[in-house]
Order: sequence, then structure tokens, then C-alpha cells
Amino acid sequence: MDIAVKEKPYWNPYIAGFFLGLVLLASFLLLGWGLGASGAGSRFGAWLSYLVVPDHTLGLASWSSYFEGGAAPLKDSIVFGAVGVFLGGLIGALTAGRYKVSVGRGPRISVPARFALALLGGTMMGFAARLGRGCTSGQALSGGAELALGSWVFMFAVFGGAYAFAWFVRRQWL
Amino acid sequence: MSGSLFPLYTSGAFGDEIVLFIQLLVGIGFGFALERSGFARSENLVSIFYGRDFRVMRVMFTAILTAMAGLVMLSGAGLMDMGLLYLNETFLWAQLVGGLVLGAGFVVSGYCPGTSLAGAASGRIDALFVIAGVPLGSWIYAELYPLLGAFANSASMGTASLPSWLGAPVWVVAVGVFLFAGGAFLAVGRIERWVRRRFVGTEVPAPGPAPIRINPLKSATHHLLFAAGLIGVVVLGAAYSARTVPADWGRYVGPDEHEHEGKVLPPLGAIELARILVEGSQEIAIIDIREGSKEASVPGSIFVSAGDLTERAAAHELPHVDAYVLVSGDGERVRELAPSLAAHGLYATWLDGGTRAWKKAILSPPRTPEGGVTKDQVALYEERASIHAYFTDAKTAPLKVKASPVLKVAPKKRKGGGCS
Repeated sequence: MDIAVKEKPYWNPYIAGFFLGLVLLASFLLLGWGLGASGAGSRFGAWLSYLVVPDHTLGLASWSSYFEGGAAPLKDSIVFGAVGVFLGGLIGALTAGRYKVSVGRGPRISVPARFALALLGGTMMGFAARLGRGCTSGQALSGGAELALGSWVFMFAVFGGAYAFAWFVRRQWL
Repeated sequence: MSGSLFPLYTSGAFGDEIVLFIQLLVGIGFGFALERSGFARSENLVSIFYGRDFRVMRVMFTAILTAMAGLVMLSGAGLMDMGLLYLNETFLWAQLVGGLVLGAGFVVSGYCPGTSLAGAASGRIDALFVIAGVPLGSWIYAELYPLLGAFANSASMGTASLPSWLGAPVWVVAVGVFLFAGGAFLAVGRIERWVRRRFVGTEVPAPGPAPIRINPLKSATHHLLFAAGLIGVVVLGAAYSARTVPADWGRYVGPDEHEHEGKVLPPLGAIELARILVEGSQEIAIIDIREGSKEASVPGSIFVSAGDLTERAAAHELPHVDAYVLVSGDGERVRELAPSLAAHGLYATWLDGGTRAWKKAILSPPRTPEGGVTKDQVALYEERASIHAYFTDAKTAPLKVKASPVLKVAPKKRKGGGCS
């Protein structure tokens, strides 16, 4: 479903960052909190788990609060935010002529191996985002702008963990 | 602090349904910005970890500078109430380890949770696997929580911020962040040039887009924005620091102090509790531990059995409020429970005499004072009559309650948002 638009260049990173910062600031001003993403994944997991094993799900301490007082875990602002990120990404890709069904990988890795690493890395991040109370959006970006101490620790730890691990997965990318 | 315009939602400008719509719009802006930054493609994201292209850091730090400068300036101008903003809480060890694992997951998967959504939206199939992994990892965490909970909640420092931790004014820290980011922008340009030179003439391709060439006119815009942000932060940040309490921008609680931070407050009499509820001046949660009859319960009570109470406090599952008021039938059982809540870093008290006292003092009409009473006694009677009317809809006397600070508690904590 390629759209016949000539691919536009990316924005200059400083301009893109300025725009992203304005979006974050708008979230602070309108809602009183920053951006988020991983929480939506967690809520989706809780919702799925509830479909399969409802009683067990309600007994999981880190998920039970999503259901408190008969609440629906997916009717939460962070889920709407995540849907928005998808829509915004789609609008961006279509208008820039960059929508293309493909697999992003380096020249030295097979498609199944890339899928396996994507799932593994996603699982690591899902776990880590619960432990660290957020991901690069909710902690590093939003908490960083709020000057939250733990968010800055988190941000440096993310860079540290990624640089330390980059060597092991270099065949995936280079 | 009242009278500030922002944040609109937490200051009550609109309701919960509008929030979902606004959140959707904010998300669209976020996703669009990620796509235009090149972050829908994993090769642009991971190339920073191989020293090729630092656009991840440029975009991220610029966004942080922009939003931070906006918060400092608007709060300095008195338009933003930082006390109403949801501030991330610090759990030092969990965030250190969580960050390391998330970083490793980032370079393994090629995306972070937010960018994986934009990646999938632009047609990247591998991003769908990342999206599937996030709930899976959350589920593993939820299953392992009984083992991890103690670690996850250790070194809890409340809403500690860099300014409160360093004991420095917000504007000084913000200037420090500007200088740090500016230095980083200069440094990564040098690293990129050095790495690219090493690969010249080799067969290893440098991933990611071509090196950034910024024309002088545009780069002048960057410098202007940077300087304007810096000046705005200094001027309005100083204004902010001069007229507000430092705790507005996060409150530092040392990791070792936390265990003692909670406190058992003196018990509340029925009248005192009624005053707090009528005034609405304190954010409290009333926890009724009775398991059988719920007769004569205090309005707004939540019911948590004595057995579950400490477990839920440990898991941070109680509502986030300033203080917890425990209620039982006669006020005896809760006297012993209050210290165990305090041990979890909470401010706890109880209703003296339990619901029995509540029924007697509040739900039944006060006795009329008889001949030869003092002015104070009359005032007390009038207050009790109005409280009685308030809680029973008896509509006898007009409501007139004196302000009296009963609870001395920590600054307000807000409902969670962000990633949590």
C-alpha cells in the first residue's frame, strides 16, 4: 500500500526535538502529566490476562489496581495516548511517503531471527518499565523535564544498559 | 498558589471524558514528532549505540530542554502550579536496574515502547513483535512481583527532584541542564565525525541517515532558541524561586529517612473528622476495616479488611492521599493498625471511638445547651448542629464551620499519570 509521495527528509533533530518538547509541555499544561507508552502495553496485558484467567489476574498485586472499583483496564488515558501515538506515526509516515511494509534489520541477520530479537527485547522492556515505573517516554522524557531525580538516574541507566549490550547484538544492526 | 491557570485538568477545568480525547490528541502529536524525527525506523534509533548518529540524543535532550524551560518560565510567571503536576516518584534501585534492563532491551529490540508504536504505524513488521513483547514482559513482572516487590519499593524517595536533592533553586539546576545538554550536543558532533572517518573506505556501511548538515541560517535559529530558553529560565526561574516554597518542585526524602517518614498522628475525634470532611481542606482516605455490618459508616469510606491493609499499603495500592484515617466499630482495633501503616511511610490516624462515636456525635442531633451558657458553648452547639445537618440532610442550621488545622501533613500527592 505504498503511497506515491516522494519521501520527504526527516526534520532537523533540533527542530524535531523542539516540536516534541512543545507536545510534552502541552501535555503538562492541559492534563497535568507527561507522555507515556509502556503503561498501555501493561494494561493491554492485564486485559488479555483477565479474559483468560480473571481471578488469577485480580490477585496479581501489580495489575489489580487496573481493575479497582470495577474499572476497565483499557479505559485509561495512557491507552488513548498510545492509540494516538500509532495514529500520529501513521499520519507522519503517510504524509512523508515513508509508509512501507518492511522489516528493519541489518544485512547480516535473517527475518525470523530479527523477529525473535524484537520479541525478546520488547519483553525485556515490558518487564523493565514496570520495575522502573515507566519507559523512555514516562521516565526519561517526561520525568527528565520535571527534573525528577529517579528519572535522570533512569535515563543514564538506559544509555548505560544499551551501550553495554550493543556489542552483543551488533550482528543484528551492522 | 491558587489562581494559577495550568494545569487545566488537575485544577478542574474539565472532566474525565475530555481527558481521554485530549490524551489522544497529545498522543497524535507525540507519534507525529517521533516519525518526523526518524524514530519509526529502528536503524535510526540504534545507530546512536554504535556512535554513528546521535539524533536520538539530540531530539530527546532538545525536547527535555524545551518542556523544562516551559515549566520553569510558566511557573515563574505564576501561570503554572507545579504543586498540581504529577511528579514522578523516585525508587532509586528499581529505576537504576529498570533503566539498565530497558536500555539492553532497547538495543536488542531496536525500539523503545513509544517508538515501536510509530514503527508499526509506518509499516515495520518487526515493530509489531516489540509491541507484543511489552505486555508479555509486564505479565512476567506481575507474576514475579511477590519476589521483586521489596526491591522495587526500596530506596523510595518520594517526589525527589534534582533541585530538592541538591538543595539548589530550580533555575540554577535548569541552567545546569542547559549547559550539560549544550556540551553534549557539541561532543556528539565530534564523536560522529571521528566514527565516520574510521569507516571511510571500509566495507562496513554506516547505518542511519546521512550526517547532519545544518545550513548556517537554520543553525542561527537553534542558537537563538537555546539562548532564549536559557535567559527565560534564569529570569523567570529566579522569580519562581523567590516566591514559592521549594517543595513545589518535588520534595527530597532521603532513602534512609523514608522508613521513619510515616507517622502515627494523634487520633481524631468524630467532630474533628467531620470538620475535615466538611472543609475538604485535607486529602484524606477513610478506611473502614469492619468486615460485617457497614452501619453508620463515615461518608466516602473505602472498605479494606484489617488483614489486607498492610499488604495493600506495601504494594502502594491505597489511594494516594496525605493521610489515612482508620475506622472500626469501637476504635480499638485500629489503634494497633495505625503504626503498621506508618511503617510503610504513610501518615496514619484513627477515628477515636469508632463508628459508635460517629453515630453519637454526628448522626444524632446535639443536645441543646441549657440556661447560663457561655458564648463558646453556644458557638460549639451551632457548629455541631450544622455538622449534624451536613451529614444527615436534616437542614436545621446554616453551615458554619471554623477553619482549624487538625492534621499537619506532607504536601499533596497527586493521582498518577505518565507511564505508571
